[in-house]
Amino acid sequence: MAIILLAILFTILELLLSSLVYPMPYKDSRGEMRYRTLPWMTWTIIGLNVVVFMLWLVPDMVGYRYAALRSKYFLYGYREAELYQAQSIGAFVTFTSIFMHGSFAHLFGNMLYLRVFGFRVEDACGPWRFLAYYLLAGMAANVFDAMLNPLESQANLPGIGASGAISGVMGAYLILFYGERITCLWGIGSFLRFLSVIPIRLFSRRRPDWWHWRLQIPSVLLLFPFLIMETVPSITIIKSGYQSNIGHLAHVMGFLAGFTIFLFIRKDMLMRYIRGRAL
Amino acid sequence: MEAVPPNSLVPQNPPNHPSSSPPPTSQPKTINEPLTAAEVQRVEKLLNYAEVAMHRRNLEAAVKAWTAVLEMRVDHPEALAKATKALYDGYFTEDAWTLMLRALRGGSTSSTVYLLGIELAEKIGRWREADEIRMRLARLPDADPDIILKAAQQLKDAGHPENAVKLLENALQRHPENQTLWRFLGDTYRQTRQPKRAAVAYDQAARLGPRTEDGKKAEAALRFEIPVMSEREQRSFLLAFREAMAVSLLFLMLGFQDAGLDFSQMGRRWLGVGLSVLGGYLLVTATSATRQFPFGSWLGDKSDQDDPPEIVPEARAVIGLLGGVLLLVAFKLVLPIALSLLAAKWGV
Repeated sequence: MAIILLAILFTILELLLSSLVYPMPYKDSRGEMRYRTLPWMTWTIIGLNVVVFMLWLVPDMVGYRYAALRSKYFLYGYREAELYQAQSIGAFVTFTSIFMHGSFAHLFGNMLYLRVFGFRVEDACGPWRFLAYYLLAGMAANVFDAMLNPLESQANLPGIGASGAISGVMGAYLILFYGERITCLWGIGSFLRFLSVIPIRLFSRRRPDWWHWRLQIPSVLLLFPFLIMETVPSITIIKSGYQSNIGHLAHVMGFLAGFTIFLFIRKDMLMRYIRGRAL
Repeated sequence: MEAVPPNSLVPQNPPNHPSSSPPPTSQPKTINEPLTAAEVQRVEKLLNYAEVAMHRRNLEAAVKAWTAVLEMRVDHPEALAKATKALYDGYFTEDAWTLMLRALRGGSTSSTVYLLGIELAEKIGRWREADEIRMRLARLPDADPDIILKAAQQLKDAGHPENAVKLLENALQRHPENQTLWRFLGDTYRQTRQPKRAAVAYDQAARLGPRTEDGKKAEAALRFEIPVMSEREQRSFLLAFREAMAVSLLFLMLGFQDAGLDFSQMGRRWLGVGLSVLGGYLLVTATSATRQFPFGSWLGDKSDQDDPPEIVPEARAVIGLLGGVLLLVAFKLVLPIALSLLAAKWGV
């Protein structure tokens, strides 16, 4: 138990430290639900991910049963061999893989992003269509990652994690709510803000606060750089088959699956969007 | 009290009337022009004097003091309000109106003064003048939006919503970020039976902040009272089919993976994908597209004349069940290998 608590503590510390460099979103600023739906499907997906990790994977991690853990990853993670050679549970790994995570940080990071971006997208789709979209984005990330990486079948390493599906949710969010602002923790941003306050205080009558830990960033400024940052290594992966322990290509493919969101959102939401009205 | 020409700028009261005062030594100032320190002191003294006079029921002296204030500042809101009220209550309506006109024609920019003017004009039955003052109020550079709202509400209450619309439209050119004005404009458009314009105004209000009270009201109006979708869209087959395509896309992806990421190996899985289109369409028809053509017309309840007919619940249950069964069959067809692997793993 102490090991688990320590791991959680380190994970939070790691996320906070990473937020000094890259903005860590934690809230949709306005967060207004047009349909006032309780985002229970997003919470269910988060709960499932946590349960799978804590009850199924963590016991092997803390018990140092690495062979068993490795076997689970290889059996239920996404590998081309399972599809080409009909191994394990075949195409069903496309579902199991997106509910498996490799570490606390991996799980925490993914669930945080799902919580921030999932609520509004679920509100726009309704819970069941959101689930269908989430699974489709996860599948698209897995499939195109496998197809576009020339060395994937040789390496035959399992792909795990919800990040492909969550990238899809982020892509959908960017398309549907491009004007919204996301509240983030961001060290560099806070420092730049602090610098900008100096001349304002010196040369005008305005008295803005010296320091803000939380910053509101337009979703387009948060998500588009994310796409660029993931696309650059993805091009290298497609060209040379470079393997990384982060699924950059899956992230990009999941993100691009966001374009299919128009098949999943509510009819009235679609009509509003087409007419250029606020969602 | 003698009658006064209605649009006269100068009070023409008999010499013994309380509102008559010595002619001003200089042109009276408006609220935008600063008074000298001496004038400020004198205004304070006169206002205090008027209060005491009113307390002693000496109306004439009070009105005289207020009028003296108005000789220094033509649109002093307190003096003007009290003087016009006292004169109106004393049936000296034309004198009250003359004081008001002096303030307005003197170039007052105080929205309170305009509101007083509207109130007085309506009390004495000068409706056209009241509307003119409202329009001028809306064009004031720093008119308080709350006062504009009050004026618009007065117009609505008086049965002139079309004038309220003009007033609000004018005001919104000055205050495009005022959510309450947009929401109120939406309400007024609705009252004048202009639902499309109302929707635009409500939408603008909702965009400015959906969490505020006005934003929520605008949202509620948009959702429940002004349909987001036209009847044609509610009955659209294409919109329903769009959702069926989403379902079949899932099945296509599953079948593609089951076939080893090779479309040429899909075989009977294509049949599963085809069935998923039909099953998905039936499921969507039963759940989220219950008014679509032609099912809505064939199986619909036509008793409601306002909305397009909706499929009756019994028929929806049958259609939904049929769609669910078709999707199960499709699932079996697109995943033959994965299902057999799963069955072998579980020993089924």
